[in-house]
Amino acid sequence: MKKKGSLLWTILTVITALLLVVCIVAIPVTNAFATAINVALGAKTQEVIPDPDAKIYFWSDYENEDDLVAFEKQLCHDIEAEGAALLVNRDNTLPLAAGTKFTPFSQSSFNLLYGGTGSGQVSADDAISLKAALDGAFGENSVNPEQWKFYAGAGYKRVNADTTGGNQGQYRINEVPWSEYSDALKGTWSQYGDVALVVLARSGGEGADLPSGLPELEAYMTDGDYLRLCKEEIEMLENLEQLKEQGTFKKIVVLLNSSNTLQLDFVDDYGIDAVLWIGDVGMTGITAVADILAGTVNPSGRIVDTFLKDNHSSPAMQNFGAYPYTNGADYDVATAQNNTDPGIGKCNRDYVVYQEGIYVGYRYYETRYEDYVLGQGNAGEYDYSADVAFPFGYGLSYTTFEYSNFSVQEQGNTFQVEVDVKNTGAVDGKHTVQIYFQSPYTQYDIDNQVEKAAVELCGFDKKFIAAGDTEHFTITVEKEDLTSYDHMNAKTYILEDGDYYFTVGKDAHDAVNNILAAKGADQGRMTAAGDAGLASKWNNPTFDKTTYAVSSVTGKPITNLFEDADLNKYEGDDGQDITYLSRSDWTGTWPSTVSLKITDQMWKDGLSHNEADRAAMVETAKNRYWSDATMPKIGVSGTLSASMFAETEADDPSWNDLVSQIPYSEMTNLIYNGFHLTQPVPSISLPGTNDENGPQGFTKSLMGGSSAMAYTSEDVMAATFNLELIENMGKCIGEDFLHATDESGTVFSGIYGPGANIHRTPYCGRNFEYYSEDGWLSGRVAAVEVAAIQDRGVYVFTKHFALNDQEEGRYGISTWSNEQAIRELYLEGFEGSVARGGGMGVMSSFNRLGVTWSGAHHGLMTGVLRDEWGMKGAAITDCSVMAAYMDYRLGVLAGQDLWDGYSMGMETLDGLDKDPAIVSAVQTAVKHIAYSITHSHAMNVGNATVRAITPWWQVAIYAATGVMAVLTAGSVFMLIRSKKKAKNG
Amino acid sequence: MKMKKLLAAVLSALMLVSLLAACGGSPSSNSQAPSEEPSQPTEGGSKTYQFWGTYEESGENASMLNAAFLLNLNEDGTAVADKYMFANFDASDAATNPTFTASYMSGTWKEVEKDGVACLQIKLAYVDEAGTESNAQTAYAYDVAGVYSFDLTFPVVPGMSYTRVAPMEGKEGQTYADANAFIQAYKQDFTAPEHVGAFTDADNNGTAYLQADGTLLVYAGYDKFADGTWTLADGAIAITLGGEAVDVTMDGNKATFTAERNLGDGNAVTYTFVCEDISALSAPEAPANGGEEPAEEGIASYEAGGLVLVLLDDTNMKVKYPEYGMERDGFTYVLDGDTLTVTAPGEDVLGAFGQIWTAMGGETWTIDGSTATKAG
Repeated sequence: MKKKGSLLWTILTVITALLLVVCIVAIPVTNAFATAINVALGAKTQEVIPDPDAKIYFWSDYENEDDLVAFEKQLCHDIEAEGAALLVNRDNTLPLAAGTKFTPFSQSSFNLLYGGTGSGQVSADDAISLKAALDGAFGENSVNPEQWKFYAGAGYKRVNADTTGGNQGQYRINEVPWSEYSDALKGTWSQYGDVALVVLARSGGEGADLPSGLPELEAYMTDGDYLRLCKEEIEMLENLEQLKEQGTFKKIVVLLNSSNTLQLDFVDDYGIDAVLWIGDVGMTGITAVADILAGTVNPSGRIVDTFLKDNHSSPAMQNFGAYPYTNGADYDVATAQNNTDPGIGKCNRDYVVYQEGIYVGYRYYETRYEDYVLGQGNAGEYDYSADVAFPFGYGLSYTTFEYSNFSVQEQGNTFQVEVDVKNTGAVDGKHTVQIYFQSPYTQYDIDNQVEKAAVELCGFDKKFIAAGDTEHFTITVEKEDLTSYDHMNAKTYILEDGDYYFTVGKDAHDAVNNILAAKGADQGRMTAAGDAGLASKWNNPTFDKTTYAVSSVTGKPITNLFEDADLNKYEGDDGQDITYLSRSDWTGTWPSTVSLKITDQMWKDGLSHNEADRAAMVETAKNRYWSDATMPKIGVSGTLSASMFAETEADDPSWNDLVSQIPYSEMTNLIYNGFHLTQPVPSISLPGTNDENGPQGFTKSLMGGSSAMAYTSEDVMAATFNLELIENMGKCIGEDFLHATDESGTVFSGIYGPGANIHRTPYCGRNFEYYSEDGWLSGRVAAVEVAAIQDRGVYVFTKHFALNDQEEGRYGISTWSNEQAIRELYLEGFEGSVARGGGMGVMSSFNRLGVTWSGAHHGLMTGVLRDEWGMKGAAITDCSVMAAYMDYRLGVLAGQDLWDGYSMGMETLDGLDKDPAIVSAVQTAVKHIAYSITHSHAMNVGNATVRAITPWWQVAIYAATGVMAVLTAGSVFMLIRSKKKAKNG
Repeated sequence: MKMKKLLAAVLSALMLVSLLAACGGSPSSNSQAPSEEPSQPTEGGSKTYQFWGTYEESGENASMLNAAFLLNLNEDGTAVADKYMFANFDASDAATNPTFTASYMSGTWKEVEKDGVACLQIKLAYVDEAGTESNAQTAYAYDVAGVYSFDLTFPVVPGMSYTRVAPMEGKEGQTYADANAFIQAYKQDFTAPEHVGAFTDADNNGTAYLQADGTLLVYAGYDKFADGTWTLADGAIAITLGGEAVDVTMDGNKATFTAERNLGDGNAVTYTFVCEDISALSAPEAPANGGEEPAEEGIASYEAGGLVLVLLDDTNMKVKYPEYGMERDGFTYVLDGDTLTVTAPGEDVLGAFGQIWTAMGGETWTIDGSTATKAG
């Protein structure tokens, strides 16, 4: 019996001791993942005791959520109504008569595309179906019910690639084969035979670009290309054409339901009567599409990408994707990684070269066309019509418009462009006036590798014009927008001497034809006669390389900052030079796939994962950018609190006093752990906040909440050319954040959006999150949206800064480009957000500029963002969970402020609290974060008391450890006692 | 004695409670009832449905993401989705299985007609202990020949918009009798690679498998983190990892070597692998090629950077790109001594593979053993 007692205590001792060890080990392990656990368990880490006398800085304009929801649903409708672009309308097929009967075709007609996937995914739970929308516009029973039921049960559905760990090979169109349609079903078609309504949808998503020619997908899509018609779709259209000839259907109407431009080499075939591009329609946008079909809305959208007959014809497509460095094996890049996040691939293996320079989208097609017409630039026998289906800016209406009285007046730093527009048709409609310019392409440009597009958009306005009425448009064009970036000689923006042309065009191609007409070009080589009367010439008498060499925002000088991203300037490339596409020799400089190898210098300058190399990079950054740093005060006693700074300008020196109160550990905790939130900073009573994804709306909608709205894809927003709609939408997105703030004080005050990269090619998985192929237009739209969101007290993180124009290899891919293209195309959208819209923040991207991760690129994160554009708030990283190549030291030294992740063993700032440069950079980062938060609705709590509290699960672990320690001790005691008793007995 | 038993029982109970607390769970969290009653009476009457589906990614950390879901649409109108993280290879009883979470998402369901089509409306959300809902979704499942389907959007991190999608299929009635039957259906067994011997590190649960062809595969638990080669000659074993020789210390017939698993940013685990008796091993059948897939087709193959050049016959060749699992036929070659001259097919044949060939391939190669090096 006594032996049994001893055995029992032995067992208990062993068990309690083991559990004690588990608890002790659990403490540091769980602490490393504390932010993630807190988020997962919803555990509170702060207690905010509000200030009863708090000043309310931001408040909702809506008395209740129902009003807001109703407004937002109408707004999404209105955006689609003005963004959808009518591309084909043969014999005025549209609008359709009341009572029209439809038979929908394609599984996508049942499974409409409302948005993309990934972090920007929005809930489509409450989205309106195509059938419901058509029934609403044309009356009940307007849609063939048997066809609708057939698609519901057909079992065919689009498939996207996985967001993490996904690849292009996962995409599927999965259209229903024609053989699946039964005779009984076919028998119903004639009853709903007014229109065969074909929906062609292509979904994009985060994590993988769309396949543009994968051999292993050839069984599923033509040439393995997702943006071409697949054989099932071709078969469907062929059969519909026959059925139309036989009289079963009267008309064939196609809806292009995609933000990735399908290859439109088929719209003149198959008896197609009308084509309407609708993008991704958001929650209620499809009702506007139905209204357009019914004619209650007159379409006024203008496409913001060039729609092509051959998607592979652009120079950018010659280098699109992730290309492995040819000697990666020498550097063991397959295993020598600096990150361990699931789904993150090789962070230093791949590269892409933007060999096309500025010639992206219409800048290529229209420029090569002009040079062909004028017989210059070795343009060859270029056939514009073989490449381009619909030019940038194109879109039809149910009415017609006529321009007259076009004039341009120079007024100091601007031009005033005026034009009268008459609605010459029978119905009312809205019309967008698009102003384009052409700058002279000179010998200086050829000598100094400055490239010039034949036309560039520089102004627009949109107005309602009643049938028969004339409206006068006055549009201001900024002279600054006419400049070019000369990265070889002047190393800044220049305004060259020579003849400039302005024109008003229905689209970019119409614009260049007007200019060609003004130049007296050979009409025999032109696709259409231009109107010289709609072009105006302005001569700049002097070459100006000083006026625009300083920032108009900050007054600081502008000069080259990206020579390390240009293989022709970067000194560590071991002679691997690039021939950029030039209009001086189109044929001779046409891009081909670039083959690159890693050099030792590239490795040491940024690609290396080795700590010794990275420590050397840190020292280089400190010496280069922080050599004057002196040790600042940290953790000093003070009485300042964050709420006192809600109206303090960013350059006020008192910020330094505030930040000096914060202990180093609180600062690094704030910087390290920003995964969709910010940490509280008790020493200055700065509350922690929550940040959520954009850009189609507040994606908290995925988690419930009635007020969150899913708007259309960004390209549809841009295609409205209506900045008032954009402003309303921005404010409503801000309202959704305001309304998401709950009674417990959880504040949603930051949005990961909008997206401002450009559509470099049609195949980027996230094109739905970006506005356009045109950087300037992106910037104009972003500026308005950002200002409106922030008007509601929500700070933005415009993403993905910068040159993250593809998903392939995005984790650490080296992106090589020249500085003219970087500045004139890829930074323009962000410049609009920050410099014009006052955007407080950006999200840096996963990729590298050259070999330097974007967040560690000082030229990008400080030179451009702060010094040139004057950004005041925080720059967050893209998701940094376990992505150690996003090194904290290199980031803060470059101007990166906040990491969208948790530290998890990557705390490279730890122990550096005596390093003047590091501490200064850390304080600067914290100031930027604090600026964003104090200028948001998070300050509605006033001078609140913020107390950090230990989350319940940590308390539980500590308690369990304590209990186990006591139990172990007790068990040991009882064991010894029982053994003693046994011995004595 | 009674006192001791009582004390022991109390201690055991305390330990259980403490352990559950330490794991961030509670006895109720794994059998959590839906937090809300169905908003409307169930229209399906006494019908029940059961759905199942998986989300699966490949990768080193798949065990953190990969999951199977069992959704029960119950008679009372409640919908309860259980989650089983099968990539952890734990098929123990559902009641205590740490990789199984009962009622991961819950909500309500009913039969409805949407746009004229009968379907099941399923409302699900993650419900935390305080009853707060997040990641709410409404899905519609349509009948396709007796099988219903919908996409379950589940939170990777509950309460946040980081979600993934698991395609679900289901039928009326019950396919899986209970959670344990579901676990048994979806469990995965870890299959060790074929091997003729092994080095082990019991403390760190590491194993280095010696394969018959001389390939060495090094695992941490279920995750391979390195590969290399092994050879045996004159009673001595030689090992390479990542192409580099590794020091092997001998103590009689006992062989020991170390390997480091890099966890990123300077964090690493060092494994000490031990084989107690290498005299029991037989030498590899053929020289290993560094862990790469041996050529199984054609008359010869050559490692060529990241590519593999496979000579199919006297003139035809194919090129493989194992990293992406891609390959392309249509190449021709001429082998003259140690010089291999390759002619690539046209763009119409190459397609997207052309980009890879342009970046990594070449016309002229120098052959050295089983390796081809691009000339120039």
